[in-house]
Amino acid sequence: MGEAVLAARDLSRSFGRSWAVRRVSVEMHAGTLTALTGDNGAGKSTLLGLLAGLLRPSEGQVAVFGEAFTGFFPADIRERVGFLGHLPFVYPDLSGRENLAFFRGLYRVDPAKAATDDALLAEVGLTDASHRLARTYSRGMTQRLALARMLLQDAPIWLLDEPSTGLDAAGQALLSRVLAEAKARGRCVVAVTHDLAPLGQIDREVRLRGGRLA
Amino acid sequence: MSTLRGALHILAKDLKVELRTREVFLTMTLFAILIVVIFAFAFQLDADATRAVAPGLLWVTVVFSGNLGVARVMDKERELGAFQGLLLAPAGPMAVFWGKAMGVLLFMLAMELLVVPLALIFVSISLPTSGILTLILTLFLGTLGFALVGTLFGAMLADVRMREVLLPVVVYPVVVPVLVAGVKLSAWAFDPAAEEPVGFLPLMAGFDLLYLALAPWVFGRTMVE
Amino acid sequence: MSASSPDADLQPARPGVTWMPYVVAAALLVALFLVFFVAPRERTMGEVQRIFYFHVASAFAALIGWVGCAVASLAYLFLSARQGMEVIAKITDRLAHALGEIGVLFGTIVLITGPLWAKPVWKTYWTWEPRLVLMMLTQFLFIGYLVLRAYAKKDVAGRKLAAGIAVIGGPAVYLIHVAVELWGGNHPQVVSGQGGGLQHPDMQLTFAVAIASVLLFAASLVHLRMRHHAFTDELEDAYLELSDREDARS
Repeated sequence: MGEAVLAARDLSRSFGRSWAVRRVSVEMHAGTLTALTGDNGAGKSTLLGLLAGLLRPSEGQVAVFGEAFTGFFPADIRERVGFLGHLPFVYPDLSGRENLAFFRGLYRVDPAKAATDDALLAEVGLTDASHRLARTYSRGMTQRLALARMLLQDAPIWLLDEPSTGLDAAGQALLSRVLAEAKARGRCVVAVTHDLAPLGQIDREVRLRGGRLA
Repeated sequence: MSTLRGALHILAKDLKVELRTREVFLTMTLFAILIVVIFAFAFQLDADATRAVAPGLLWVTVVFSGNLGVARVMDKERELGAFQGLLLAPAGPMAVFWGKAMGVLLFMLAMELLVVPLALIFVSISLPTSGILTLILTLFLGTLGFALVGTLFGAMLADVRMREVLLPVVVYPVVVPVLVAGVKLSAWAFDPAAEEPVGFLPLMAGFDLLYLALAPWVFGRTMVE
Repeated sequence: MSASSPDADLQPARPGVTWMPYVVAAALLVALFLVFFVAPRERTMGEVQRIFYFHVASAFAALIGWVGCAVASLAYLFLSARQGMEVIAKITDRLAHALGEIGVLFGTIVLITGPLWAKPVWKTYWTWEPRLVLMMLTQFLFIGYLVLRAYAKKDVAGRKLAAGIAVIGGPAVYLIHVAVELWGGNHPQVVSGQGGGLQHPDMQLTFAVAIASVLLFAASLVHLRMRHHAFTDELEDAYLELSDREDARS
């Protein structure tokens, strides 16, 4: 399988008097989809935040492409990590299309490699709504837009927090199609979920209980 | 270089949203006008009292409505979590700080462009031609200083409970040098025949220079883990 | 973090500098004695002027606390991002916290003794005199710091936010000072000017001893608070270790 693209090395993070994540070591490889599962409060989202460099580990390291970090990643690593959090990271006062255009500029996306806004909007099924303000979107539509925002970055590492939130049946089909395609293109995908069905075919389930690997 | 590009990109986005919603501008401007009216009314200003009170009134208006503006700007960033997306972008935290600070500065200057002439009319104080440049320069330097500190603290406290109280509690003391210098210099602008207040312009410029360097550094150290 | 062996549950209590409180108490008593029995009665202000010695000494302690808090916070922000500097970073953070607390404590003393002195001399408890304003504003700023720092508890991000406030606030203390100096005022120039009320050598001696004893008092309080914060951090670490053991058992 070669070297791990993303790895948690003895990773711990405490909040107050308890461990949200405790001594988690796990390796993720290119072209695989890893599902992070567990009960509410098991530490799934915290682990994802640590893997994204959003949270500083109390102990341990995150290794990205073999390079170890303990906290916020440098720019060239941030560029290669796509993050879809539990908030959609979009602006309600911009239209779907404007949101994509803004993040495209911000993430200095290479126009030669990435899909166009039209293609992305069509892929997530927002073509008709692309000129409406994101404020007017339903929960599922906002999630589709957030997915498109992450797709345009075309990062080799994808970190997704409950990606199927608010999605209807068609949206879930879209999600599993997108994830299958990502795997085929060698992306390393990690998705926090409590429901495996919408993800399609997963390669591995990493189950957390009380912040530890179950 | 990518920092500047990122900052301008964020600024352009803020301007686009603001031109569309006018939310921050309207919030600040309405609040500022209310302050002027309530003050003028509550203190029952006559011509003599006006001269004494006007410079202070002007700066209280700038600082209070500026505080409100900073809070609104940050609320809009946080609404659907986009601020986190900005920080994660390769452009980095410095670009985010400069983009947001330039936006706050422009919004405040736009508000002042409308409110200051209105305030002068309301309290019927005359501004001699020779004082116009002084007033503009003072307002610009003072607003710049406020925008730097306000943007930094606004972003730092955006996720903190009790931020509505904490933001003014920490912002106002820090910007007092700007407030004092602003009041003294604007009083001189209204009455250029009076003795020139020495040392206040360097104080204001020094304040701006110091926080031009310090505020982005602190932002970079505190906004990411 | 704490890498102690499972058996080292209870480390022996580490006594602090036990002689310190006695030295501090003795120094303060000497200062009080000098203030009330040695320093001569001031000609124009009368007995009430005796409050000056502790008032100004407290102001020194407060300013040193605030500026020290800013400097230690700056060091903390520098070091917290460095690999291998975690231990020193933690110490600077505790030092900053303790200095901030002591700054606010002595700031409160200044803001209480000031009006007590002002009432008979200036015929008013409070006047919007620049130096009073400086004291009060800085007090507000560092109360904000303490609120944020208390809210952070063990959270590193919250601690950094508080440190950021102090780093911005430190130079502001100086700039506010410059602003109020330019503004001018009627605060008695007993310290800086030659024409003040401290011509008598006994007054100067009393003043020097008062400052030394109050600064010693402040330093011992900073020391105690730093120990307190270190223990609090250790206690929080112990809770984490406890949750580890409970996990291991289940």
